[in-house]
Amino acid sequence: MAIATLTDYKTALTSPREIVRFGAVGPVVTAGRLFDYWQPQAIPGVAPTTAVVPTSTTTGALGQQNAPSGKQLSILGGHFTGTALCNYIVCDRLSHQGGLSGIVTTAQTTNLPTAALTRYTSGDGVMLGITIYSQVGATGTTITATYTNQSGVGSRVTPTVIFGGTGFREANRLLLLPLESGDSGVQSVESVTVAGTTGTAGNFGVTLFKPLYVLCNDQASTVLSSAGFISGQNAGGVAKVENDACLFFALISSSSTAAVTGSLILQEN
Amino acid sequence: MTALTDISDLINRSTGGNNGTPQNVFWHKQPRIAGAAAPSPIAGRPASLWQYDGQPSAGAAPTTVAAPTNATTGALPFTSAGGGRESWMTQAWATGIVGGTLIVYDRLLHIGGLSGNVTTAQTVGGTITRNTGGKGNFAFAEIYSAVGTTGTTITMSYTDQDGNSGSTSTGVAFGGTNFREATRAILLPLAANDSGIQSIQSITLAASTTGAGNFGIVMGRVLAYIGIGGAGNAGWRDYITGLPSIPKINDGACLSLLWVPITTTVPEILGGYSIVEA
Repeated sequence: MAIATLTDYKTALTSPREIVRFGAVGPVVTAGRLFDYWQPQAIPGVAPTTAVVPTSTTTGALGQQNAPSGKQLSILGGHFTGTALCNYIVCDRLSHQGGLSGIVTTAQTTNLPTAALTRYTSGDGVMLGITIYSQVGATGTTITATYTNQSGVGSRVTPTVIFGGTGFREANRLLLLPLESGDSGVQSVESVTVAGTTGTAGNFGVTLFKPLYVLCNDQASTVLSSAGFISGQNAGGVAKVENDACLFFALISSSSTAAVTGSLILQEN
Repeated sequence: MTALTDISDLINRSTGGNNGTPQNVFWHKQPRIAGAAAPSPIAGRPASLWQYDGQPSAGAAPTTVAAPTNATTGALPFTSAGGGRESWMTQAWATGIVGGTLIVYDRLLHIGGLSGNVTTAQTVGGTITRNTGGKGNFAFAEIYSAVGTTGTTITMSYTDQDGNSGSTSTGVAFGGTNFREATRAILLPLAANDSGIQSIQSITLAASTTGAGNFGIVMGRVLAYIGIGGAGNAGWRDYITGLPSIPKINDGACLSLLWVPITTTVPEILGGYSIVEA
């Protein structure tokens, strides 16, 4: 069911289904670049080893409850404060794995293919990220992945992007891989290839995720911000949250820190 | 077609009621073209992100004239409204590694294969299928591979928003440093008192740039401007309570991006938008 009126919306804001609190201590990040806050948060996630589908009950997930049968869970807004102007992107972590190396230059299939999607199963709009769990080497190279696209066509290859070296090697970096011509999403990843050694193995993995909602922090540090569908400082509309969604934050900060604390307002309708 | 009556109606449709069919889309563009580093943009001058790698995937340099749609490779995701309804953008957002202004536009028509060293009229032609009245449509030269280093000017012959053919745009710089590089988008101003374009008959270079390169002409209609103050700053637009009012997106729209950078850093951008039907 929809939220039919402004009055209903206000009621939902003041009496939400659930308020999900979050916090992150703010590790060093690189301004303007995307980071995965799966680990550096109040209740940190664990770097995956095998290929798994994380859910709302996986340690590291924000841990919202599912909507009752016949209801749809949505994000109405949030309150937050942080140390820097920043974009806090609420995503559903759909499938992830780890154990890949920054010094192996052949196609890596360790813990691959990724576990089959259980949410957004067509893959349309699902993004392909490389999460760095422990720092890879200082030598810049490029990385590609073979994947199955949103239509179930396999052996697709991502165009190359930079991997390793300053800005592309640090723990918690989330490197987005572009898609082959004509593709709009990813069902699974079969292999990852690093073109040249970065000099250090580190530990990285594939993360398939879907962005849902954005809290836009454009207030000065420590000022409380409120985001909502009709109050601004957000994107994603009234974002739907699938049952079992593994909600986590990806972020892009304007400075080298990005500590944040706040809450998301969720409602069922 | 039904008007969005009030905030309650908008909330209702944005949560799936009354056939609102909400679309909340996210996309990203990487600073690369076909797997190689993209050329540096020119500070303060528009660049086209049409060929940038990302999700969705890159668009191709056009050859013959065509009216691209939401099914064209390179178009940002958009599903046309059903049931006789119309689509409306309620929010837009973007951020990235460098500041600038992102322009979301409907790519109405494009052509490639034009030469930087032909000084006679080069035919554009084609027919747009959206916003056919032409009001608000704009045009730019899109450079796919660098033209020559000799500066000259470019004009276009077009039919204006009132159907007057033979209008000629004011000449603007073309070729030479800052006006020749791949991905540059060189806006073509309209003749006095014109406010749009129905069709473009041809373009003409006043002189050779001394390098053929490959460029094209694009006609579009702007939907949203998103300002990003600097690296990691949030550029968000709320069309529900902010100005301008909620932009309409025509069925079949080929949503595309122009970038006006603060610096010469090649942009890497993550963004999104929300759409409802009414």
